[in-house]
Amino acid sequence: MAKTAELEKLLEQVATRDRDAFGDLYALTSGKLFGVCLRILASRPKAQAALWSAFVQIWQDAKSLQTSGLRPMTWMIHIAHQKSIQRLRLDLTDVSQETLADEAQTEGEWPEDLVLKPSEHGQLINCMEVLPWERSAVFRLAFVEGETYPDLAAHFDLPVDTMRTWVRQDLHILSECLDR
Amino acid sequence: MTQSDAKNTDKILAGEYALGLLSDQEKTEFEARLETEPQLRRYHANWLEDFVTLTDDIGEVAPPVGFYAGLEKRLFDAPQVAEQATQSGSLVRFVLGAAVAVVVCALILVAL
Repeated sequence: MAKTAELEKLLEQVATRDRDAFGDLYALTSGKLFGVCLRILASRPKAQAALWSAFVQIWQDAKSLQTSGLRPMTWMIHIAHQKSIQRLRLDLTDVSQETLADEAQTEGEWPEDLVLKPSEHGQLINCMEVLPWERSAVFRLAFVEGETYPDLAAHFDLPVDTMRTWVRQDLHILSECLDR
Repeated sequence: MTQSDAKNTDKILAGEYALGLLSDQEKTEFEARLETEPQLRRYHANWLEDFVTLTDDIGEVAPPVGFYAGLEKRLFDAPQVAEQATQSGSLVRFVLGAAVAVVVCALILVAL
């Protein structure tokens, strides 16, 4: 099981250009990160391109984990998430040839025993329960599916300004509940 | 706006940023502030730690075989190629230098 301390150590080593550590980090996290990319992009070639960019950034920016204030898995999911959202919004079609070539290959086997540690922060889910169901769904649609305010407004058949007001009010409620 | 209002506004703004809901211009402005405002970075990090739990139920999917090899090639081979180029550059300079030396020696011998 990949522990936070283990991932922190690996990322520290990656920051010093340790290739073996990068390989270990990839083995431990690529399944989760690819899952996140696929969920947002719903297309294997696009998800692979996003994953590719994410790992390039992880290699190049490993040092910045220390100043981000984030746990290592959050930091990496955040990068994979950002790369996927960028791709989703730009609707990039010029996926690199190298990445497309990989698509033709068969899927690798993911070792069953490498289950990532579930997040310790279950508090958000509890706090979201105080919101009406459709309003808690907004957070999933925005964060996980990459929907924008206009997408969300269309989804709920509401004006964009009303949508924005909902989100801001609910962020305030969540912030109080999370005691931030 | 009171200090407490500003604090709340920043918290909400950081939440909208973490959710990916800001417009391009708002995003650019927020990112510029992130560079210089540690408190804003903390708000953002807190929201991200919370929102990332929404991905907990996303299962792992193995990237294709060969993906890592491609990534390694892209990240690690490029500097080696540059290194080889530098080395071959040194070799060319060495051969040229030696050739010049030989010609100079030959000219000296002829002059003698």
